Amino acid sequence: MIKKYSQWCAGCGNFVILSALKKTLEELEINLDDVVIVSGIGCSGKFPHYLDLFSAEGLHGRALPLATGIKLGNKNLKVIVIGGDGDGYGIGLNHLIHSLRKNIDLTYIVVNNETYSLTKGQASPTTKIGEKRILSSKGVQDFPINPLNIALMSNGTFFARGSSVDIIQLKNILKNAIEHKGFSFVDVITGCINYYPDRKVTWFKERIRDIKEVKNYDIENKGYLFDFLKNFDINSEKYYTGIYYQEKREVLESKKDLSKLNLNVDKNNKFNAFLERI
Amino acid sequence: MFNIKICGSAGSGVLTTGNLISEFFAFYNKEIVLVTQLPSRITGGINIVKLEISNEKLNSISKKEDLLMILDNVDEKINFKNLYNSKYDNKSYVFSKLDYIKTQEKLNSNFKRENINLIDEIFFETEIEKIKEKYRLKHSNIIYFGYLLGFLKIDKNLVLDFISYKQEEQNKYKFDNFKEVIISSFDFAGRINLENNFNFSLISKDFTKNKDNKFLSGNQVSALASIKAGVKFVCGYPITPGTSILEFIEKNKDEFDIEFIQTEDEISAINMLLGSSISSVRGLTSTSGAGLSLMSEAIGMSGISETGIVVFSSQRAGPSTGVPTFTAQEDLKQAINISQGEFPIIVFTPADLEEIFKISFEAQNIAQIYQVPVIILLDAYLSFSKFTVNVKKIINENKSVFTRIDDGKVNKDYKEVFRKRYEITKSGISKKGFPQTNSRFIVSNHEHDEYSFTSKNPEIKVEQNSKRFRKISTFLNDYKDVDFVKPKVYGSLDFEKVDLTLVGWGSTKGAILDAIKNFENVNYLHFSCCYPFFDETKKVLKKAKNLAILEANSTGQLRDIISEKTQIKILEKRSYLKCDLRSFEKEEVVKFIEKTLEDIYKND
Repeated sequence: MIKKYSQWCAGCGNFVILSALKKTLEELEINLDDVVIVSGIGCSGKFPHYLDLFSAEGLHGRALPLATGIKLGNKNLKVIVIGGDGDGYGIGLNHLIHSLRKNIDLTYIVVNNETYSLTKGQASPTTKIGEKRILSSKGVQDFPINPLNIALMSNGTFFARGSSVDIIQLKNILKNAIEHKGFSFVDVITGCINYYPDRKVTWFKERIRDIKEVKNYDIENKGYLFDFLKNFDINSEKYYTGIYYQEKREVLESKKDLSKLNLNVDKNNKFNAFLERI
Repeated sequence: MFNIKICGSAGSGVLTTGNLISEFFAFYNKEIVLVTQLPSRITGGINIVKLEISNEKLNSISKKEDLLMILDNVDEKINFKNLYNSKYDNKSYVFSKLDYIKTQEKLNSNFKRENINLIDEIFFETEIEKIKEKYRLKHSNIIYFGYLLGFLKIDKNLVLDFISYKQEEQNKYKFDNFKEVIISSFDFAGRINLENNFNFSLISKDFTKNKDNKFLSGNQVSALASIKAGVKFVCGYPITPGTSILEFIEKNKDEFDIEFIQTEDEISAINMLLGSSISSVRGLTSTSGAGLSLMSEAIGMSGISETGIVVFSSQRAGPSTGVPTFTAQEDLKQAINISQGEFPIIVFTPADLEEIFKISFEAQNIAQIYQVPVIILLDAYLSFSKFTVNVKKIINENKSVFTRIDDGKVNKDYKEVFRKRYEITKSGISKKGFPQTNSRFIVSNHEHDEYSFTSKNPEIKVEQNSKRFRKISTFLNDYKDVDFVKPKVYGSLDFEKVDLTLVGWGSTKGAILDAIKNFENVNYLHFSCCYPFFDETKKVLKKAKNLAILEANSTGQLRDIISEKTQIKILEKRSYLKCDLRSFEKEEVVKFIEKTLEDIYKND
């Protein structure tokens, strides 16, 4: 059962992302009963209402630790976390960094529209300098963060940027992200009809570049990224999309599927034997 | 009863000495209470351990000190008051170098070395240094231990038996001369014939081995019970005094297939714990007041999403960073009122190791059956102190409790898609569903309808809210006769003959039980579960002729809650409230009882 009427505005990029995600799950032939969706709070926190899957709502900024607990509880689940930039890069930034460090096997999709939408348009950590917003009436002063840089510096094993104007590229990124064994971080650039009415499809098409164009691009060697991000002006309106980097590294996971373990320890008399020893 | 106080600077081995002495006597089936005063330091300052050894069960530790050990040159004042006041057979002994005493004289003008009985100068000035040099020891703690046993005239065979029992453990720490050090000190003590009628009753009594007489802290027992209850996921963030619950689990995780994660902060820990519960896994986290504050939002989510979790919070003196290693009972209202909004929660306040063991075990069932957050409030006193306990006996005497692992109502029909997660029911309890079982719903932290969809409908809010609170009524009905959960009266049950009923919660029980032994007309009403309130509580309180309350906080938190829930007000003059960083001692409770009875008789 999914919600009958959408809460998203007509023209919201979330529809594209929803479609890409559904298609990806289909093409990967994943057993939908193994999938768990964890959402953040915000417009992009509504994905569970439009996907007929087992879901959990995270508190604002706390979707990642919630998803980590779900995954550690049952290692056979495919856990996909979806939230916005306000949720993920402000209050949730701490957890993002530690999730990247842990390399827990989750896919984290951040719908990055550079604004807080649901709560009526306040600036988010990715809002460009100078943008006038309802609680920053003189214009945003704080330097915006570059989430891909954070992923690089936190030693992420898979990080990418997609956009809601190129669904084929997005599907490809999501496919790789979900298949990647480890923490897959995907930032999806998108618009907001309400708070950036000028940012329509053409606006993005003019500003989106392919990461493969970058000098010395090598998906397996992050060396090129240090140079690239060093010189990249986050306030410029250029968005480089594609899979930035991917590597294989030890994954944080439970040794066993905890959800299937026999609880009654005494059946094996393990506890009594242990009691003798302490 | 024999009481020893051990002082030394941080790092000198005060705790090791205390533990070793206690483990020896526990090995021979004595009852022991060991309490600590360890300021938040790695080195320097003063660490204090007090222990009491008895043949009978101990509920609390006495103020008196029969023997004082000073391990090194402590640069803070030692309190000698209780040493003077409790002359065991006319003397109170001090094991110390003269230099340490001289330092104390400099620090405290009221103290003179003539006031104490400093013994065996030869050993403590010279011999000790010889032993330390011979075996290349930095600290004197094991030497003091050996000397003590010789001093108490313990049978050498008992000492040797204990040493071989501990040998395996010592080899793990690469200390080869454990036996030699102890025996040389032991022999040396044996040579002096102290002039006294040492009516040391522990020596004339039975010294039979009892391996089931364990010596454990409140935190260790919390972890032990949780393991027995089938906990498989534990995460947490270190904070005194909650950390050692996490340590015990971490140390033994492989044995029991438990996953342990140290998180980046408490907010991550509590959300992770929620996650594991969503995957159907039993778990726990352990923290203190400051951490509980951070966990507040997620505990609210546990309430509205109906995801059961168990959280241990060991109270320390607050507010804010407070006094990290010292005890208090200042977080009761915090636990009960945690988080915004209204939702069912259960708050346990166990008093001693036996209650901790039972409650920690049962809390896992309760969290799963009623799908609510369960907070177990300990305190620094319970967490750090160690007591002798026979866990095997507790389990055998309560088989009906410890053989029941109940996960509540779970959807078992996987053929049909399960969507109605928040179904309105009479008991308030709705069926749960887990991932991979054809469940399609949202674990929701918004207000929601029966199918988990976010709702702003007034009727739905009222309905769902009532349903959630019905779970509390169901719990109260299910547990109203469970001994360790409902409020319990200790002492005389004949309220006609009782002039005064004391009220308390958590660890104050110990000192109160010891105090009321001397008073036939005083009994004690104990709260091991401070929220929700059982109907019986009001009935019992009404039966009492006079009520008095004892709490280690300055505002009378349980007193307020009792007044709120039962309209029964305990007077300020009948309230012993203190926030002096110390647990209650029986001597002060006795004084309070005497003063209160006097006041009662005056008014009669």
